[in-house]
Amino acid sequence: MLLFFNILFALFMLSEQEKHPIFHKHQNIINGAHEISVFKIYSQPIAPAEQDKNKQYAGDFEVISKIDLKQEQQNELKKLVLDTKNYVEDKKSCPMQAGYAIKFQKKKHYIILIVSEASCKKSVIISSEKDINRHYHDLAETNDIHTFLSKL
Amino acid sequence: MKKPFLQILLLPFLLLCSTLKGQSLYELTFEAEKVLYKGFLVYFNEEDAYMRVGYTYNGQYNVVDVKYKSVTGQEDGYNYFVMVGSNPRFITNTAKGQKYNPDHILWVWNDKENVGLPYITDDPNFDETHLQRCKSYREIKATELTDTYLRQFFRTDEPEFKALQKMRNAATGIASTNNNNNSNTATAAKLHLVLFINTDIPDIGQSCAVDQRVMETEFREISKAVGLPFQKYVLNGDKFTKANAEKILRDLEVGKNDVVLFYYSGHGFRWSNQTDRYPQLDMRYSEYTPLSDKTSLALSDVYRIISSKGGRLNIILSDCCNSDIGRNQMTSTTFMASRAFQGAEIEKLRTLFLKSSGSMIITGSSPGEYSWCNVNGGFFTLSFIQSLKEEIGYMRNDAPSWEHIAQNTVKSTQYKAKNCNGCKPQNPIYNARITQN
Repeated sequence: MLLFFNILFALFMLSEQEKHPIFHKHQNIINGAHEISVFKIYSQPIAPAEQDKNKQYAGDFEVISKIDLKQEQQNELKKLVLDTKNYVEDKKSCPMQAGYAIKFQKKKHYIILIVSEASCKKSVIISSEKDINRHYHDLAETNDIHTFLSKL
Repeated sequence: MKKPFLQILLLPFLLLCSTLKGQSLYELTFEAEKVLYKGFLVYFNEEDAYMRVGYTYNGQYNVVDVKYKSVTGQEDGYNYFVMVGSNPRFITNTAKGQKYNPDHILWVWNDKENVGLPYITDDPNFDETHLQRCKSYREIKATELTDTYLRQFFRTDEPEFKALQKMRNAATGIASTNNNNNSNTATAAKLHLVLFINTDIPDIGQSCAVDQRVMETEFREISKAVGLPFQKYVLNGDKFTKANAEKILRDLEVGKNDVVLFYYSGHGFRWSNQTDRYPQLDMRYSEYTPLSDKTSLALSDVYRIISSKGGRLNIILSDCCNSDIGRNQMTSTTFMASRAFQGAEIEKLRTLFLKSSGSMIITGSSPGEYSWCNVNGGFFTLSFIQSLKEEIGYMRNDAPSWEHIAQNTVKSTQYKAKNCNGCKPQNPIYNARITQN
């Protein structure tokens, strides 16, 4: 049955092939990012008006620390974040507790993927691009993004 | 004898809200090898459906019964719904060696492409070259179930034939021993529907809003059907706070013969040091509000508060996760809607809502588990509504009970999560202490 679906979906998806289901046409920001950063962040977002100017934020999440990545780690992270196998379409009814921010910067364009702690695996996109900004995506229970982050 | 494919007509609502159909009737036609087939599909739930297929072959009229199980899901932005046929059984007399391969039916659609007629095939491997599009498909109203129509698919001595006759008679207003007259039913009683729905939370608010519409529709129609005055209390949008929730519960005035149905749809969780097996309800509509005991409410407390009001029947439901949040508690200082209601036997509704006493608490998942949802709503909510509708359908012979509804809700939720791509197991838990008067 799975084979059948693959065939059928392939037919339906012909016109959609160039579009990433999560990042849409903005996947090029990730692919072409000149700066890739990972931050450990506090779980609770702070409303912009209440943010401390002396502190660093990723999205609205206060940064605890920045984690330096080697070039090969950056390349690996690009692939992991774009890999749709790491996401699920159905959603869990649990409150996301943020743990990490992954920032991809390409000139003035950016995508920050806020990733939860392991207890309720979710993510939210904070981006310069309106059509994907603040979009929530549940992560698969076993996903390579969490595996990668847990090793840092 | 067997056709290479089937043509099935599935209702758009079955595709979009397949889990909501408790006892739905459809007619579909298809043609294969110049033989016209007409199917009468009776859909109870994902695990229980059957189709009677009538066709003439070599001058002889045949009727076959085929059982169905269904799988629904999403993949790459597309929704699919598949009904897998099995166990074909001839209702009419068969010639020696006469066979019928079960047909399988499928629908595929997305936001941009509406669902069209379904595809059909008898190929268990779903080879694309064997897929055929059905010719027609429509929902059958109870009023259309004339004896002549039913005889195309059933023998007159079959219990299904009699049940469908009963459904038709109720729809057309013909009196019977179990008519659907809702007068003189509930004296000095009221149905209180308390809905706490987190419609504004960004990740699942849309799904919660769907749950709200479903629950409101179902219970408004139930109250009409059994003659219970209906009063709803809705907490959603930016009013969705613990303080407002507590006020609603505190101010709720319940008469001793009243029915209270509480329903929560939103985030749920459990503290790492929590022993209560029921979840905490997350009463924040904004992600900027910190999570603490001041912004959460224990479902068990809701149960205690409502049970203490003294009503005759209390049903407490929550569709939310029951998973560990990863930290200790912080002390921060349509079917029922008109057309779909055709399948409901009102006497069974009366048994559930007017002749039952006690309380039931039921939540979407066990400790440590997630509750799953999608654009059609929460798996648990859909399963509960489905089980309720199934319980009061004409084609179920057992006496209705809340315990049975809870059991079927658990089973149906488990099935949905099992067949969801990427989901983990979801096992609702409940405690029912309800007796029938």
